[in-house]
Amino acid sequence: MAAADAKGRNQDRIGPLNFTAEALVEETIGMQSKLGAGLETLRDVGDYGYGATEREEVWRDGKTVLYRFHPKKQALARTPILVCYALVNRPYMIDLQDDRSLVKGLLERGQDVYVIDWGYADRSDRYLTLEDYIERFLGGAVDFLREKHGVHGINLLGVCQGGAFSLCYAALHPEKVRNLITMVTPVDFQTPDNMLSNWTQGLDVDLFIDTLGNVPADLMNYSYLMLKPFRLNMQKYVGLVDILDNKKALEDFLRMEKWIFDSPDQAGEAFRQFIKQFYQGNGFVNGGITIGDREVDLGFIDMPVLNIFAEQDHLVPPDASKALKGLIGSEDYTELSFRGGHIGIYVSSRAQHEVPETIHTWLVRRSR
Amino acid sequence: MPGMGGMMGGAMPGMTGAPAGWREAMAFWNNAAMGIQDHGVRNVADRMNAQASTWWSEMQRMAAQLASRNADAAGIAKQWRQVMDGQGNQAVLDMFKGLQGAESHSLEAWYDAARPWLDAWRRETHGWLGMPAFGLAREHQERIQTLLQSQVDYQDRLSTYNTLLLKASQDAVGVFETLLAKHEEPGKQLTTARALFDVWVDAAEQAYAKIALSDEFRHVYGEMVNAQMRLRQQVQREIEQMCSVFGLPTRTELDAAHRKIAELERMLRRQAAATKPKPAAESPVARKQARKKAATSTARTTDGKRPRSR
Repeated sequence: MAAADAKGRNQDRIGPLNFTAEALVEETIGMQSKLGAGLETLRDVGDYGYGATEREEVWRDGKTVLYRFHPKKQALARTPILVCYALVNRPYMIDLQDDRSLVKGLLERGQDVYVIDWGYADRSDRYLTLEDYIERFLGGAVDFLREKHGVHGINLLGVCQGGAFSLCYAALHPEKVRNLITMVTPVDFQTPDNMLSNWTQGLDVDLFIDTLGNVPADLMNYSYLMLKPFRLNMQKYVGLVDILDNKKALEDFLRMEKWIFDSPDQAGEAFRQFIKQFYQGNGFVNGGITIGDREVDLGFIDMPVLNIFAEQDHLVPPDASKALKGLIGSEDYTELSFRGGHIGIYVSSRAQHEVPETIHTWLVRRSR
Repeated sequence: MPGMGGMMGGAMPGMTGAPAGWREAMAFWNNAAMGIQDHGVRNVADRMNAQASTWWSEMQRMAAQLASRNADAAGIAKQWRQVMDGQGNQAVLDMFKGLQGAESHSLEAWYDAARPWLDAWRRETHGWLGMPAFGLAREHQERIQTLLQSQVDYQDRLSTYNTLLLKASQDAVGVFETLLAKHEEPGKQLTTARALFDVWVDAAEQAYAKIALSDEFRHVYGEMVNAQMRLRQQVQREIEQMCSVFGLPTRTELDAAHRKIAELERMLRRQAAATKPKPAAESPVARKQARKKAATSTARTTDGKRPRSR
């Protein structure tokens, strides 16, 4: 057998593997060195808290708080953007850290940015319904901003489940939404590649909520990890070894981990309605979504719509988002197909320019 | 890090000798990391130890056996199947269980916590469990019988669910072989154990996704969750029964109070919205004109549509 090259490869090797025992020892030593360094790095990690941008509370109803992010420069836009995040995770993903912040990107371009923080639901919130979340909390925040800014309609940016809420609100109150932006938002909840949807179809959601009351965050997290159990667990933590000697990369990792596992419990009644009407009923497509006593018809969405989805999204497959185009009444519909995943759309380095720039440019064209 | 180099043989700069096994290194590392105070860091270290130890260690071991040898995709896959069989089904199920975290309120964690109580009930009632209920304690007996039957049902459903998860891991070996075959050409060969591990992860995900998206999984998963909910309801009923004996408020009573408050708040909001003076709205004509103008400035637009119900 011919001698191996410096990387342990041998030109005569047949089969899919081409490494020597020495190369493997080298690889192992490299990883164990990282482990050793990791003990020091982990003790030295600095602040891995979240939130890059200063913000202030401007409105509150119950546990729901509306925050305004402090602009770095004078806001140029007269119409504010209200970010409506999902209930299932914390909204600081959009302002995770200084070099990974959609909020910062929008502020730097002169937008005026607000975000709704739903807070952490507890047992006293068990009977909050979708009407409460959409009409009371989201609607309350919208009305507050319309009054504060003296505008008829605001720019609404819905994220994931918050995008579904924003679609409902915009369909019910089109006069209050000047422009609608949806990010990684499910619309067709029953595309064949939607794993979460498949799992909810056999669930007796009445029994589920009647038993649990609120849905524990751990249960939600477990479901998300089960979407890709080998990649999101085993491979991720083996991969972590690579950065154990890199303080900055480790802090970024810890910050992301904090976000992933910092999930609120879900208010039982709202969850029951969401699963039944959206996942099991696929109500945006088939009809049958009722908020309070009003049925939601996306055909009433007549404002400009920018729909941003991620091509490698394992939570909200692209087809689930793209269905929006065929359902709304607006004649002004734009899509941005982002090369990345459900989270990468906020935190990847390419997203830092591409996403806020697209949103800003799109809004500016519609403000003239 | 004092001591670490000794443990790891050649792992630390300046040290000589062969490195220790990965699992041993991880165990040592995790022990040393115990002293880290930060809760978030500690959690990550725990998850890393739980998830990056067993399977990566096994893959390294297999790679070492295959180093400097010609092995085809089928041979490697066969050897990996033996490794998995050697680990036993429980190791695969532990991997899935490990996703739930130590302090979890997830399905299995609940069952682990409840099982000692359920088993105790089963032991106490063993003698009369299968007997027809009659006499003064008949309702109590019926409730316990229903509860313990719910436990049996749940265990059956859980077992069926676990069987599907195991099938996914078995199917992964076949996919592993297929993916490995794509690396047989020169230039595409895998040159590290890590690359081999990554191919197995790809295979495991592909096999798992196929099952997780199937109608069978939908049914089996739903049945498993529903069965646990029925069991939980029975347990909760017993606990409420005990609470009422001691005059303690129950969850049902608290829920009723919360429901009343939520309904009252909703009613008030609706009334306030109905009576609130509405600010001057933008005229529909002005809105339409503004939106028409915006629509002409966009590059990509949809065809005009009307609302379903308009």
